[in-house]
Amino acid sequence: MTEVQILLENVRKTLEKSAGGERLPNSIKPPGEVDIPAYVEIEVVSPMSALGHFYPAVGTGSLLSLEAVYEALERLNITNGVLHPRIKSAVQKVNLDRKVLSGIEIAVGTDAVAPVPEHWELQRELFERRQKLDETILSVDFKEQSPFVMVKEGDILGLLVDEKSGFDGRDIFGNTIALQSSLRQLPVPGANVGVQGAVCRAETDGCFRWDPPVFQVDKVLVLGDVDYQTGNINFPGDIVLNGEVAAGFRIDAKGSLFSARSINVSIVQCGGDVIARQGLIGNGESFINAKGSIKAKFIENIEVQSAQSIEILSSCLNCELKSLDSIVLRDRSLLMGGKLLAQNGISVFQVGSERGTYAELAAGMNYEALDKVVELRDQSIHLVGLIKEVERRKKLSPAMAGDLDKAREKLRKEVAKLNELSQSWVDQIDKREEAKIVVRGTIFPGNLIEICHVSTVITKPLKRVVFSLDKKRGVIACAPI
Amino acid sequence: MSKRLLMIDDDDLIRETMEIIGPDFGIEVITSGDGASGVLAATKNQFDLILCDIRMPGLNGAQTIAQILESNPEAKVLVLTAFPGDPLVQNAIVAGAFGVMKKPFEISKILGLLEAPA
Repeated sequence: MTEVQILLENVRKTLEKSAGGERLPNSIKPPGEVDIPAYVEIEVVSPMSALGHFYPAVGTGSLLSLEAVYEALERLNITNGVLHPRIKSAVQKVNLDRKVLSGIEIAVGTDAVAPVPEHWELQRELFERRQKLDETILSVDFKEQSPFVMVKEGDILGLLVDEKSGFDGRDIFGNTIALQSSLRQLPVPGANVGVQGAVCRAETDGCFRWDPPVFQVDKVLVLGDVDYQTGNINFPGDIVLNGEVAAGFRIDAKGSLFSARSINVSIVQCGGDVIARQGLIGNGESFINAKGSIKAKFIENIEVQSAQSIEILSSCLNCELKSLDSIVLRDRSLLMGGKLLAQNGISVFQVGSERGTYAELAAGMNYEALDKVVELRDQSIHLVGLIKEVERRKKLSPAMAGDLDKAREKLRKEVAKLNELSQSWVDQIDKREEAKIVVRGTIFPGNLIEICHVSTVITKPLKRVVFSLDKKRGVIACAPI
Repeated sequence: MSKRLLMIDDDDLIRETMEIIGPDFGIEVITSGDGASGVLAATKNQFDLILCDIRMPGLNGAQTIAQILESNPEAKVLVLTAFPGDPLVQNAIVAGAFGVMKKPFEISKILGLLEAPA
């Protein structure tokens, strides 16, 4: 007698006792129905899985035995991953309840597991603390710069996880499934990440960056006010300004400069972008130089140089803006006074006003070459002034004529050298003859338009016009937008 | 063949500088210290380019340019000024000046205009 049959017999006796010793029938069988023994059907779903469908006995048919199930498995060559406890439980249940049990997984294969070497596991919370900047004021490209994950020096970035060995898998028929090497990229500590035993920590305040497989901390200096308490700022990374900058303070950043408020600029040097959600305000001697682009809501009384584009949202008052790319004064912006020079073109809305205030808009030229030529010209003028002085003294002291002639000749040679140098720069000035100056609103009389050294002054108000260089005639052409 | 330039400016230093450095760039430079002598020089000679200061004693730049263009409508005359917004510059443009050059002078612009088609 099997274990199940013994169990069933015990249950029967218990029930008979509770019924006052009345003998229960062996099975409840509808009249006229044949006796059918219990049985199992096995369904192979895949090489990795088999299901059992268990059918109970009918009438006085024999109960299902474990042996019968194992024989069925053996007939199908299922030898691996057999779930013995589940089969045992199913057999007991189908014999006791006399109900069909269908879709019971009774054999399952084992997947191959790739080995994982010892590696750093990054802290999940790092990816959940992105600091979002307010993008409502200046929407231009902020998304690219805003998703900072700020960390402080000493913050845990990753923990060391032990090596895990891999193993082959096996299907339910006993066939081997060979393991494959893992394609997962394991994190590697990068700049400003210190390893202390099984812990990786930020070595500086900054911006966490996950650039698979490297994780690192970019140095970011987050500042409140810049004033006498902080002194001038010189930082080898990005700077985020959340406060105000007192007048006269210098900021040097190897990376970019982001400001939530207006910056009172004295001198700003940036290896990246300068982005001011409010304005950039100068005192007429202020200077900004950026290797990246410059974006601001408004800008006043500053000389600005950018190796990329300059974008101003509302107004540009009395500034000298120079760009090796383009200058765009967005929406219904106002340009009053100053000079705009952009190699690849300019787009503005209103230039000047009926009451005067004139600006110069120049396109197509490389400001670096232009500035160099102007510098050399000024040196030439200075030397010519000295030549004049030598000639004046020669008239006063004829006895010194010999020495003064030598001095004059020397100065003359220097001027010639400067001119030769100037000539080499001149060739680099005119870069884009197809550059255009677009006025989306009105340009008033007195403003100067120049494209690749051809210039004109506006003599009457013009609306919605584009200026370009008419190379054939050598003049500035004006056409409606 | 070198290009010929007439510079009309009451600033001695600027004129002399141009006289000295012009030949280094292959430019023959003639100078005049006032508007009247400038008009005379421009009428008697042919120049590839004329630079005319806008603020001068006697004839101002706009008047000078108007007289030059009256006698020689084909002349290529450029206003020389420190302030392009000066109303006299607009008068000069209306009179037919070819363009504007910031003072003291822009050698790159001069070379560019001398190379450009007449």
